[in-house]
Amino acid sequence: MWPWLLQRVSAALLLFFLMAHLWIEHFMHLGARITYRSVLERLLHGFYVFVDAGLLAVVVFHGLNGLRTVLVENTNDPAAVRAVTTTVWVVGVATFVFGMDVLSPFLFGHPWFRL
Amino acid sequence: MGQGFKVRPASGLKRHPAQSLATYRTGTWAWVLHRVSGLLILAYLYFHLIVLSSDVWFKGSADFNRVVGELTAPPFLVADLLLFVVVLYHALNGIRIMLLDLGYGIRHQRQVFWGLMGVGALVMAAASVALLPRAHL
Repeated sequence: MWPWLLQRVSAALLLFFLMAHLWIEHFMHLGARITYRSVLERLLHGFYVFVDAGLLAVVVFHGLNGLRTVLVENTNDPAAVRAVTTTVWVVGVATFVFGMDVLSPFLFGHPWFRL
Repeated sequence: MGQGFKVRPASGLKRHPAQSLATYRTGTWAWVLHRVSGLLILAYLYFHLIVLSSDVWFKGSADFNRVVGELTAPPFLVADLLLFVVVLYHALNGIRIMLLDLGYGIRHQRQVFWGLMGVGALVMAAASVALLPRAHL
């Protein structure tokens, strides 16, 4: 039940986060170029950090939970379902960390992972 | 979680999706498109993160601005509009799925589907009119 319910909850959250994301990037300052500096200045405000990090977490969950549904729907084997669930969680956490690394130069002044 | 179970088809009934495309109606196609669009969006998510990732593609602000500038070239603008159509479809059909889950519109699910597609066409037209004249070509 939880994967089914949380897919609906995350979908509802995505309607907010995705509209906010598209509005902020494309419509709020119509025609303005997105530059490193404009992103840096925008992310000085906590609300935009919340939108970006929240969208990342929710979209990764929703996308990979959907992929999990596709992968297990023709399976009757509980062990196979558990294996897929575990794999998807590991990939999801890694994807979230990777996404936060993309944001990290703007949030912390330097990237988390770089040579 | 419960044990798996097998569904035994009624005798004489052959039901394999690949053999019964002719039986697909609005709801089934909506389901197929929902799944295809979902997988496309998941693939795009990884593309998006990789392109924006500072350590893979660029080493500083000048490279960031160059990459973002290149992504406003016409081929990518067309791709952006296609992406918008795919995301819009997935969102609107997702709203329909949640309404059906809550018990709304079950008897009129086909009208609800086409009504939401109409909303999508309007949103798409409005967004194109707002964005395309300001494209950096």
